[in-house]
Amino acid sequence: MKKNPLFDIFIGNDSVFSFVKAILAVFFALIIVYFILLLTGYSPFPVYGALLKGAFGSRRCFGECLVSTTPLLFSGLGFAIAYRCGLFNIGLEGQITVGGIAAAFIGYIFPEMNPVIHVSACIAAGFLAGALWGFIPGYLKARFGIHEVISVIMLNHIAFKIAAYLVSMQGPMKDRLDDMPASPFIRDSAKIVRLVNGSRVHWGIILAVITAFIIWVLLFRTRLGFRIRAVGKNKYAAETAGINVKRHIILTLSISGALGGLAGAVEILGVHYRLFAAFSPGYGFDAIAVALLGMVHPIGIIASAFLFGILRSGSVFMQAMYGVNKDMVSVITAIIVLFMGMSAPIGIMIKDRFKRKSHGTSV
Amino acid sequence: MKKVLKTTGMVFLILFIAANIWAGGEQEVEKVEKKLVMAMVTNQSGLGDQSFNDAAWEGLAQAVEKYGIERKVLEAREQAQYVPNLSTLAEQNAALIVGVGFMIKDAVKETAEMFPNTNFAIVDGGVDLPNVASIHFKENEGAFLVGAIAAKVSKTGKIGYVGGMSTPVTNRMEAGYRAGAITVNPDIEIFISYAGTFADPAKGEEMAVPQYDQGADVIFQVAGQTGLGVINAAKKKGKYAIGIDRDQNYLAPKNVLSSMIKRVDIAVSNACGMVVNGTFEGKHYYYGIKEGAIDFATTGNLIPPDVVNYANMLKKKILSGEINPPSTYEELDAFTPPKL
Repeated sequence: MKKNPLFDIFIGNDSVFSFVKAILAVFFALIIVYFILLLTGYSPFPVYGALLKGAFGSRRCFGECLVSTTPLLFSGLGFAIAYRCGLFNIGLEGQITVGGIAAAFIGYIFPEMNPVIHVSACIAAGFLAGALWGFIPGYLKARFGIHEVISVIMLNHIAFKIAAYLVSMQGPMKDRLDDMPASPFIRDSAKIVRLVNGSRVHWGIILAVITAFIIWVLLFRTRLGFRIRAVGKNKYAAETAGINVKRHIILTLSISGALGGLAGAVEILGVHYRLFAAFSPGYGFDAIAVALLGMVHPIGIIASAFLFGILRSGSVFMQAMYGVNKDMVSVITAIIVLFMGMSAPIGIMIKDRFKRKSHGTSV
Repeated sequence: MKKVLKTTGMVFLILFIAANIWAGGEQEVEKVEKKLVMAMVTNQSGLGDQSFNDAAWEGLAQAVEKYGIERKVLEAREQAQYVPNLSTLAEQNAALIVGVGFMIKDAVKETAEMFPNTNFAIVDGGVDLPNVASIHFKENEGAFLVGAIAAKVSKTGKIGYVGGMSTPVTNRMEAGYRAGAITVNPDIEIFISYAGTFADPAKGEEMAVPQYDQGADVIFQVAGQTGLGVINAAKKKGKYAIGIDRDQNYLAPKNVLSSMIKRVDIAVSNACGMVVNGTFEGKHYYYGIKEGAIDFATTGNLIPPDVVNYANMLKKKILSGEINPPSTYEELDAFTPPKL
């Protein structure tokens, strides 16, 4: 059988191939979007240019890209770890919300103090609040067999309404000196420092990437991670092997919730500096797509969260420079994500083709 | 397989060419001269909300007519997008950037500090910076008038109020409305409810129906999209509703008694004019009846002529300072109805 050099370089090597697949997926998406843009009266290439410019055009733009990557990465990891344990945590948005509430509260209730201590305390508060919001459905599932999807949806609503109540005109966390339905600003010592001047990007992104590596180690290099994955693959087999399934369900959902809580805390401490009712624009729901696109693997999730960040900050420029309607922007970004999700079948198609070809030549 | 790929390729190529030709005609429009760009950033309701954002967008349209500027809009879908939207426009050297709605206040402050040479304006919020014009409305004046109209028209001596969320602006309207009503009839019964959202018409109907059932025959809605449900309820029950921000009579010509008009467009186009004429100042601007920005609508002729006259009389008294409609709950408590 004759060997195809192209095959060796681009398809034979798995890690290179996953990259090739991703690029092909984006390429196909851009072709589809090309037609949509033309038919709706925009010139496609400048709009693509605007998308890139909005994400990489300046230090500020690139910063914005990382600003939205941060919470997506945290919550994507949260979804992934639960998914690996066979749990579907769509409650991340609620866990983000409670994490934000807790962090904001610690952020303004204490006087100025050592920034390291204050920020750590706020982040810890967000972590614990999120963990609690994950523990509840975990416990309900383990103890009473209540499906986690139902309980986390309800907990989402509870979290949203609690946040709305806290900062409403008569709410206990409302800033009395200000018109806005928001909490008082957190102290300077509770703010997460920005990485560079002229951009909103803050240390949270570093923390998020470190967390991704920690979750990777946890999942793939520790006994706990092995057990979590074993429960996810087949909980009956896991039970037979002597793993306490219930305990691992509770623990995993708590960790998952805690990661959501971290996303919320970091968003409040690094971007908003105060609590709003709906400070998270659905990062917790995007997290599902982020995690699945990243093949539920912490390192893959870093990449997919970054892609979502690019789309989010790039979409601002599509509107600003060419007046692309905001709903159209959503359509475009959704198509790109859809095709990214299809990169696996695209890969199989290509491999099939090459296999047939090589068979053909060998006969 | 090969054939399939080839055919798809061909189809795409043909589509590609066809689409390019089809779209070709529209791309010829190229901008020749560089105009002054003035832009706005919407709040999360975005364009098409039939009230606030649309009115500001209209204001920019008037400025296009009057001053030959170019208008631009960035619609924010989320709280976190306000700052990037404002900064993007500032980087593109917009001559004026209008932030719509009080939720955008922090973002305007942050961006205005980052771009001290760019002019900003904010509608319904206050930012104390030399490059930000803060536009406020005296909604209490208009609410006072429609409150008086409601009390005059009511046959049951019971009227209602449905707010969206409890915010400083809706509270201000409530205070004005109640003061107007008790000025006409000190014994009037007023039902107050807040829906907790500006975006849910079904909720608005849910709030309005019990008020009508308890005997209210006029309800003032200050609830954005939620308020559309109030007007719907009025239609179903055959009672009156009072609209908000724009003349909403067209929504139910037999049931929308009046509307409290808030001319955001006037304020926005004025701000554009100030930039064009070089008289722009970073200070607080208050728009009320005197500035022609607050009024009540009479479309549909549902208000009896003597009530219209009465309301016009009150309007004059507000203009002359004889009546000061309260703008907060505290002022409402201290308010004593004037002897007329």
